[in-house]
Amino acid sequence: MLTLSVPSPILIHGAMEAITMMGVTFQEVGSNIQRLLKDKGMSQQDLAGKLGVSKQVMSKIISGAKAINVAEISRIATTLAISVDDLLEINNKTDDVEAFNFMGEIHSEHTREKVSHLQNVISELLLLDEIMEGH
Amino acid sequence: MAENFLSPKECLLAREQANGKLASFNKQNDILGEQVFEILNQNSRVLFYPLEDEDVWGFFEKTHGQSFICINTSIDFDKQVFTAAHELYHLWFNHGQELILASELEERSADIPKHELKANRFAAEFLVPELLLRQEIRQRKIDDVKIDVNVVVRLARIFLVPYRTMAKRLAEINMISAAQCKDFLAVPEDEVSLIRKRLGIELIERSNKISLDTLIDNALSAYEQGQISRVKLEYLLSFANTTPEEMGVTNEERQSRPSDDELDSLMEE
Repeated sequence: MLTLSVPSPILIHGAMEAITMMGVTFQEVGSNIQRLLKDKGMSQQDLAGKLGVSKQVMSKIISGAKAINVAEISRIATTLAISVDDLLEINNKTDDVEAFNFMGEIHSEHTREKVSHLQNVISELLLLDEIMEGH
Repeated sequence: MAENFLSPKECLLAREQANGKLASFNKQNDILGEQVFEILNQNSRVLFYPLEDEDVWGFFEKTHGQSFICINTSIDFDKQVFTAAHELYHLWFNHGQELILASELEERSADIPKHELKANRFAAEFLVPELLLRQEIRQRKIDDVKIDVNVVVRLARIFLVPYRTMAKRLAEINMISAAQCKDFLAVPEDEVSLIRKRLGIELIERSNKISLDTLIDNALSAYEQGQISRVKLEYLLSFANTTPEEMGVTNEERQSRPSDDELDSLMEE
């Protein structure tokens, strides 16, 4: 059952590269799934089992390497007992690395940008850890 | 600075902590120098990145149960070494998230938090153990009266620590008086640089290097296993100022592999 409460149009391209859906990349959807799994204490494998897909396919969805369609997004939302909106939410960061509390102590705007860039690097390192752990 | 004061007990503790750690790495008889980065790497994930800011020497962030330490590679190399040793203290003895500020590591003001003073003292003991320092001084046949600014600059270069750290260290082991130390600390940075040039012992060039822990390796592995797209790989490698081509990944290579959907169906079987 589709319960989409998102504004149309929803654009999905089959190509792997730079796939976006209303500006939300599959990588962001993947990150959201990862975060929500963590919140619910579920593993990627649990979700893969419930959706009837392989661990490898699940891992690709989570890393944003696999295009997924509206029906699949809806199924994932239903399985996780969350709304589709939750899955399509755009986080400013690819992962939930908490804001660096010391950011305010940095006086130079230039340095703040560089530190925030490194904050992204840390998020990506953690995401890559998850991907590599899945294998 | 007299205002930034650790009690004799606290100093002794810092020394014991440093000696204990040096012993555990079997490094008591060796000048540590840049080996400190190796030790740091064994204890934390480390990012080397040029922040292009002389006041911020790095940061320490604990997240998802892991420690990440960033060392600013656009500061003098001896300061990077000192930053690494200072951060080891926080890693081992006093956890937390923090920005590593020059003002605190150089103790430029009178209100430096106690745990920063302890981390500085630990770093000094770790990088410049008293026995090794006395040994160097003996070998160079320098007696107490001969310790001038040139000697301080030379010793700092030998131990790969900042000039100011060495000046303080000599006072800490009573090789120079507090007044002499104060005079040495008052020598401006430009003058210290000139002395280094004159003595032909200039600092190792500021590397400005970028090294981001496992990022490149894991990004390439994830790509090779078909877990991330080429666009994602390009994005990840761009953090380290490199490209798939530079890392020997060609477009053809990926095309010769089975497509992702083919792989999926293989996996499903």
